[in-house]
Amino acid sequence: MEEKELHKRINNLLNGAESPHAGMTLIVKTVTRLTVGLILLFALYITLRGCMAYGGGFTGGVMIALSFIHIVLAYGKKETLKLFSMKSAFAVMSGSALIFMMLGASGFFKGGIFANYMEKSGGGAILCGGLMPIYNILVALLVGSALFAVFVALVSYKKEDK
Amino acid sequence: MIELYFIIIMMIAAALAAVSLPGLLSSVIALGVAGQALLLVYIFLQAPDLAVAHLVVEIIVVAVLIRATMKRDAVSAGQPKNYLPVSLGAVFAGIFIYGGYLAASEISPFGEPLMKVSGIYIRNCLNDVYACNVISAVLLDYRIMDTMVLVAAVFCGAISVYAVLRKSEIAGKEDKGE
Repeated sequence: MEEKELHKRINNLLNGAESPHAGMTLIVKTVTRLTVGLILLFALYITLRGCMAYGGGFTGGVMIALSFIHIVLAYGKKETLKLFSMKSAFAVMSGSALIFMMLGASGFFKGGIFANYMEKSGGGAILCGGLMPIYNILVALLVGSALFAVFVALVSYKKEDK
Repeated sequence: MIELYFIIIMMIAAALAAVSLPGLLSSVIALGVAGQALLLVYIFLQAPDLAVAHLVVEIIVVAVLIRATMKRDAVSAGQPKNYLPVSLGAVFAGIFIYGGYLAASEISPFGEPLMKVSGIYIRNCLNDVYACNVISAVLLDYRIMDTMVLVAAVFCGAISVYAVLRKSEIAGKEDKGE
């Protein structure tokens, strides 16, 4: 019984079905507002430093998705979709995948598909390794928006009780 | 290396708890314990790149699993009445464990890889790609075709999840309209 009540309460919090103030309490909302920017900044750091230190596009993308999931859990689904709607998530996802493929295809004129034809400057800078940072950013955008879209789809489009 | 054995024992205990606990939520939490123990194994084996990726993916998986098991009731299997499936399962588990032992004993020892190409990558990475992180260089320069397949897989996964789950939303809207 207790577990069922807990589930019901968490469900109501997630969907914001009953109360007009959807989401969790004021404390959680305030902490979320303060920390989401820092999480996004750290995701950017992990993504851009992918060719120098550990991390990379995939990890940074999952962190971007986690920051938006953080907002979904704290503020509810509606507020988050105002900030970053499903349409824009799919647009970012498709666009980054398309640019990734086109960058790879553009190497065809410079010595082979997916050739790393950009000038490679010395190590230590952000833009090292030719095209690698661009690929990193594209993979981060794709993974972030894709995982966010999957999570929102799982949260909102649940089966109707009959 | 002795701490690895403690962590692996903890992982086995968490996995057994995940199977045998009555509530689904407790099972998900025990699964999270097993995943974080695997993260510690990665850190002890000096793979920080893998550890960071595993940490974030583990968090997202646990969040999705908690959301997915929220409304389900706990299904208790009960005591098995028929002993034939249990004994057959035990026999097959023994066969698989023995086969796994045979396969693991064939692997070349730690630090002496069978494939020599990784050594070439490690030696030439800084001059070829100008990247200090060899893993990133392999992912985004030497083997970028694999990353292309990853991009395609993530894209198709998100699209298919949306396509499968959108159906219930459309059905719900039609019900409300009627």
